[in-house]
Amino acid sequence: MSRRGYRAPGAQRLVRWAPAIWLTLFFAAPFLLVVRLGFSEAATAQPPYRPVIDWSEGLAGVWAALQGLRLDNYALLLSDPLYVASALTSLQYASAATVLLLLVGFPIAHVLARQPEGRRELLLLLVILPFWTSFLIRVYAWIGILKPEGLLNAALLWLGLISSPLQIMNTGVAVMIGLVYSYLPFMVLPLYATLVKMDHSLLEAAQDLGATPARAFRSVTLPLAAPGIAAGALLCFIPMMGEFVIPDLLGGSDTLMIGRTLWSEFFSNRDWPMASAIAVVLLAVLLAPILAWRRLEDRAADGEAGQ
Amino acid sequence: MSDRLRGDGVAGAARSVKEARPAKERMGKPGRAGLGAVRRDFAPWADPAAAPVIRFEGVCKRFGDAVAIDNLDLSIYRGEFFCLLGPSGCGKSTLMRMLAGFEQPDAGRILLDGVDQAGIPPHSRPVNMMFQSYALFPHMSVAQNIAFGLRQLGLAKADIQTRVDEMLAMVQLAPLARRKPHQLSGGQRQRVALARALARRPQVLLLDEPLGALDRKLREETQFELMDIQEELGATFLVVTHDQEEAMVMADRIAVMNHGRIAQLDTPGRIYEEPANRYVADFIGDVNLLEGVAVGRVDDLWRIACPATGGEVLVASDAMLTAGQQVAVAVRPEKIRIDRARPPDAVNVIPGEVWDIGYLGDWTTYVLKLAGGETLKTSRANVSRRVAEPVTWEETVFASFAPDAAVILTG
Repeated sequence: MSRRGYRAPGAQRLVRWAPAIWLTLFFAAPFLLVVRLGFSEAATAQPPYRPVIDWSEGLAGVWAALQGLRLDNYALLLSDPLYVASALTSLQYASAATVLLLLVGFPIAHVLARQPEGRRELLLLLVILPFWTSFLIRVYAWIGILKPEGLLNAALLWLGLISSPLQIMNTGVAVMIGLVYSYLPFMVLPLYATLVKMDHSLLEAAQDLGATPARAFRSVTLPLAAPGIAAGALLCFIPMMGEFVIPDLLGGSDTLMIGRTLWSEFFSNRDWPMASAIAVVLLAVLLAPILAWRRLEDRAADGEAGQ
Repeated sequence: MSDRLRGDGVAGAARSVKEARPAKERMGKPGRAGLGAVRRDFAPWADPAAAPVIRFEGVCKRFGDAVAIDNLDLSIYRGEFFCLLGPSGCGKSTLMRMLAGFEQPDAGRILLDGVDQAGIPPHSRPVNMMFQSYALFPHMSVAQNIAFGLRQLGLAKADIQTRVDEMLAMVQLAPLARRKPHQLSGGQRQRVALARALARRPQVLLLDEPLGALDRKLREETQFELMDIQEELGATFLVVTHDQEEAMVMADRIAVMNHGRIAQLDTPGRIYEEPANRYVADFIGDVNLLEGVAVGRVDDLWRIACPATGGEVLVASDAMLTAGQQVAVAVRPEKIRIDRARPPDAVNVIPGEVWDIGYLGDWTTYVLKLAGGETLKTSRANVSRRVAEPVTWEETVFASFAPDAAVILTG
């Protein structure tokens, strides 16, 4: 039957276009505004930047704008060590936290996936349960735990493990704790989803063929969990790169992560064009791992087709 | 007396010849007279000097309250094609998984080549298993799947390659070596699973429902292929199946299992023609079980009063019965003939009315309604294409069977 003459009913067409409309309105349009802002110049005005295009002069104004396209913000991004340094700090934290999350999350997901069905759902609920509380409040709660007179220090002092309170608050350690704690569910859930699908008899087959349990894990479980590992890592790594709340609340003034730099450009310096340039570069940089992930997913989908 | 001695001598000679010659030539050799059609002349279990390669000694296994294996003893010999047959939940898979090391017995011992396997992990046991789901590694090619077990042995790369090629040739999959499992048909996957399990040349190969996922035609072909491969390698094959036809065709011996126990352990021929109890008779093939009471003995025949037949039947049996004992007379449908007129020389004649007719092409099944209301199933091979006056519904016919066509069951 030919599809040519077929016209989907209105509602169906709307559903088909809804994602595109949504993304245009709430992602593409604002992003273009940000891109335009990035070419602008800060000004003491309301809004605090100079318009890029002078519409009052018509096409000539557009031409003038294109000729005088300002890349100053981007040039400054590269030349001022502040931005490069905070980007590198973010990269360090996000990478280290991703590795830590994998180390913590994998055993949790593995144990979860091996539970009998009824208990599995209950435990899964416990993993998601923190989402019931506001993210901000949960990060604030960590201040109460980590500060010098906080719960952690009190417990360590009471156990006699330390003689004076540890300075954890406002250090990189506190930021790492906050990152790993906050993003753990985003690591556990995709890992769980791949591990729970895995046929247990594959592991038995590996052992039957002479592989020790450790070997079987390395050559069967790990490769088959790779899509989950990639998904979890990206799901955590990307937002952690731009994370602002955690370094701001737990890291103190010394922790310069790119998200915080961006925030202070916007709100402290009122340099919207500079902040926009940072946002554009951050997005461009993060596109690379997302594209890599897509490719991996496509390959996994190919592998599953026909099974 | 001298005849018997000579007979034994011939049997002994045949056995030693069998050892010396390649396995292939054994097939089709006329075996000793016995029940059923014998596949090959091979009976190490009858030789008291033979040491079994697998021994289960008083093995028990429970899962919670459920008894999976109930104090089971079993010996399986080198080169045997052995089938564990039973309905699902009878414990046959548990028995196999204990041998592979995936389950531990609660009591008793499992010996492989005389070595107690307690505490030996699955990866150190000299057995390999072909899983029911095949359990092929989806992220590895056919060749990598087959090489997996060899890599664990730490063989040299070239040796692994040689062995993989050998295995691929054996299962005729060489052109597909680089394919991934999901690119294969069900039959091809089954062959990869077999090749992978055999690559390490295990002493004992465990096969869990090896043909269960194949369609009927392919299953039949593969049965014979499995038998050929087993003969060629001379390995011990232990097959778990619920399919009696599969077991009957392939096995040297069958253990029919029921509720964690062995209901009967014997050759396919004896299992079919001489079932040990009602369970086995009923589980294997079709059977008419006529309940009755032993009356007395006439020469080598037992007179059994069967209410269903409206009289007595005579059964050739050397069973030790006492008069008045409750027994069942088991007769297979194909061993009962039906005639329109009462056959004058038949011993056991039962009149009945044709109630149902099932035409299967090669066979036709007739279900007769007897005077007492019970039914009797008979079947007839359709040896000619045309039948002048076929037996039809509601006709009164006479079913008859010879005294040695029936078996007396006490269990």
